Amino acid sequence: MKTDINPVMAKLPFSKFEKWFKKNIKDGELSAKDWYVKLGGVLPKKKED
Amino acid sequence: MSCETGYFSGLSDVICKLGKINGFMLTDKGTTFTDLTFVTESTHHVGIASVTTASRTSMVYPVLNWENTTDDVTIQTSNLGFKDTDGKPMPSALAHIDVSACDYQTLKDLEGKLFDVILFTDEGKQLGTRKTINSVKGFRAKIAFKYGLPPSDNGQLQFAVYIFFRATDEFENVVYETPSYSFSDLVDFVPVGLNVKVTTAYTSGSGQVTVKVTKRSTGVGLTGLVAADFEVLESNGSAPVSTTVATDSGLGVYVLTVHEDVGGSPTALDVGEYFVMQVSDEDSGPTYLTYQSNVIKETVLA
Repeated sequence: MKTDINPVMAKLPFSKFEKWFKKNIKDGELSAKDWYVKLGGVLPKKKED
Repeated sequence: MSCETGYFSGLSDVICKLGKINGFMLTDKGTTFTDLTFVTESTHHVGIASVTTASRTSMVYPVLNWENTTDDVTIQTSNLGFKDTDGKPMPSALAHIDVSACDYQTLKDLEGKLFDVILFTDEGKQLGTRKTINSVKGFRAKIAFKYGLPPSDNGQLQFAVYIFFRATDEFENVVYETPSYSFSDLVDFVPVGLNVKVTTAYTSGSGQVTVKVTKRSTGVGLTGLVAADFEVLESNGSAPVSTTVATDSGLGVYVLTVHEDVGGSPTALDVGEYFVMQVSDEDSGPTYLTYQSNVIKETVLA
């Protein structure tokens, strides 16, 4: 069993991607963040205190 | 009948024969070429196998048997015995193509559609028609097929394609070219055929469908495909509709998640919605397809 996610999903904002990921990807070899970066997405910058 | 002044125009020093039709290329209606691109091999490679769906505008079919089925010219005789032709018969042909039964089955979606047909001969000639000063195209035609039992006499004549041309004047302006490639070179560009079928129907609850992808004719499962290889060509869902996840279960079986866009979020299709899908794989470029499947339509029933 090998799961692949379509790179078009990295066009979603990360928050939406993460929500979708948690609902649809069950075999968690990689986290939502790892997949998002792997697919070419850019993670949002952390807000500075 | 031409009502222009006729002039003698000489004869060639070298008598080249046209040869017999050994293949034809269907191009989407309205496809045109320059005199140069008409005989440029890479142009046809893109048209046949580009990874970009919109650029794939042509397909070639090798011919085993070609029959010119054009009606004879009608010759009318007056009551004083004078003979003359009356009208120009519309050209037509019956081709038997060199394909497998599964290949032939995939052609039925093409029936009734208008194409521009480029012809190839065993003397290395490529025939089109001149559209404008520097524009060449295929002959406009509609195609049809014959389904039924295999022939009892000649097994070569199993897969018939009727080609009904639409304009006689296109044959008065034929462009005869002798390209540097052969027709078989173009056939080599055609992606290997795949068969895809649904094994577990799509449900709106899971948003998933299970498909089996096999190499056409041999039935060997194709593994290693990724989500983007399962392209959604059409859907009445909220665009974009795409295959978001593909899980390779081995032996050519894939569990696919297909989602539509609802308010910017990927969501399962609703009951009554459908999608049309084609599976393909590409070379390392990726520039050209190496595999291409039939098209399946899946309607959400539950």
